[in-house]
Formats: sequence, C-alpha cells, structure tokens
Amino acid sequence: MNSRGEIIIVDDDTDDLEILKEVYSTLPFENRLVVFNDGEDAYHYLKTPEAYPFLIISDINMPKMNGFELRDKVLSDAGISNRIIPFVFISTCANRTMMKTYCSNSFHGYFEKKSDFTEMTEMLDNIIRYWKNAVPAD
Amino acid sequence: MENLKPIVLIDDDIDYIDLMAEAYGTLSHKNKLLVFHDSIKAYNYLIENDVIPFLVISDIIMPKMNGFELRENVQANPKFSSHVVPFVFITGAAELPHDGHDHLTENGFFEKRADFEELRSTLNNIINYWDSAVMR
Repeated sequence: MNSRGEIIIVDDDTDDLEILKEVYSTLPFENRLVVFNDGEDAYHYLKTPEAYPFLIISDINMPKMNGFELRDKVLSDAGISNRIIPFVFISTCANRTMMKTYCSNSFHGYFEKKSDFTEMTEMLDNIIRYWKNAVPAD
Repeated sequence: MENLKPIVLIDDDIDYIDLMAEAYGTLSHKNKLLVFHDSIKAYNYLIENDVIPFLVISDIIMPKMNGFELRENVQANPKFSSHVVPFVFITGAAELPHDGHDHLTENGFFEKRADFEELRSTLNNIINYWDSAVMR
C-alpha cells in the first residue's frame, strides 16, 4: 500500500464529486485527490504502470463501467491488484441485498453518501484513517 | 451506537488480548466484548450460540486453527450465510499474505500496536469504520 499516494474518487454525478472534493479539502490529509467521471477512465488510469494510488473510492451506479465491474477488473489484473489499493464503495443506492450477493464478506466496505456535510466529513475521515492504519504500510 | 451486537476478539497471546480489552474499555463504544484465547473455542461459541457479532478482530497465527481458517470456517457455516460480519486481522508484518489479491479480498490487516494510545486509536477507528459501513 502506498499511504502517500493519490486518493481516487470515481463518480458519474458531478455534484457529488464537487461535494466530496469540498469535504476532502477540510480534512488534514496530504494525499492528492484525483477524480474520474466514469469507471472506464479510472481503469485506464490504473492500468498505467506509474499509477500507485493509496485508495480508490467508487460509486456503484455509473454508465459504461459500473463500480462492481471496475472492482472486478482491478481484482483480476495482477498488475493492479499487486499494488494493494484498498477499494471502497460509496453510493446513495442502499441496496444491501445486492451488496451481499455481490461480495459476501470479502471486500473493503460499502458506505452510504450522506446528505449532511458534517456526517460526510466524518465518514470520509474514518475511511481514510482506517486505510492509513492498515498494513502492509509502505 | 445503534448497533450493539458484540465485538469478538481472538488471540492466543493472553497479554495482548488483555491489553486490547483494556484499551477497548477506555473507548465510548457500548458493544459487549467477547474474548477468546483459543480459536476453536471461539469457533464453537460462534456456531453454537444465537449471537451474530458486529465485528470479529482476530490474530492470524494461532495453534489448532489459524485466523484465516477461523474466518473460512465461520463464513462457511450456514448460520452465517445471510450475515455479513467484518473479519479484521491483527498481526505482525511477517504474517501478512504476499499476494495482492488476498489483501483486496479481506476486510483489512492491522499491525499489533504495543503503544497503548496507538492501540486505542486503531481499535476506535476499526470500530467506527465498520459501524458506518453498510454490511448488515
């Protein structure tokens, strides 16, 4: 894991991306924030050998390549998965049954987007701290 | 906290598990703590009782049944087929899997902290993370 690498946020909703950027700017972390409007663009970026982000936070419902498909691609590509980049889902669509069916226990968590700015800030702070604490550290 | 299902701690190192329990006691979370020194006993307890934990925090290297085996056995049990219980590993760095894929399909690995304050903050963060995640 590269705890000093970029934090990648993938979301087709431009308003949500703006909110997330604003939320992130209030947090004390120094990681560069890189945002993508769709899964395909994010995947192309991740495939480049020099890309070694710290964390990927992805929306689920997106056109072209959705969040699940993006995660599958990341997991099945050893070049990316060996870099050990935590992959967290964030979505407004709280379809828990779908999540359970998709990943059982084996994933990094699914978080609901909050409409309250303070709650959203706490949630993002929690997510980043968790993976900063996790091993292997770089 | 809305979710008051118990938190399960498993480690064959009695001193370390005492330290974790003490650190947990200083936090504001109200979940009951279930502590096991023996992974087989933990497994039997989880399977035979009605309890579905909120979170399991387990050591990896333990005699008889290691942390990975414990997780596989628990998740393979029909009682847990409709429940998603996060399973977080605490470990020394040498015990970590080498394959990136294995890291991406687990809920997270954390170093055993010797410093009490670091242990408190790591525990607190792990609990807050899975409390805010949608898993249930």
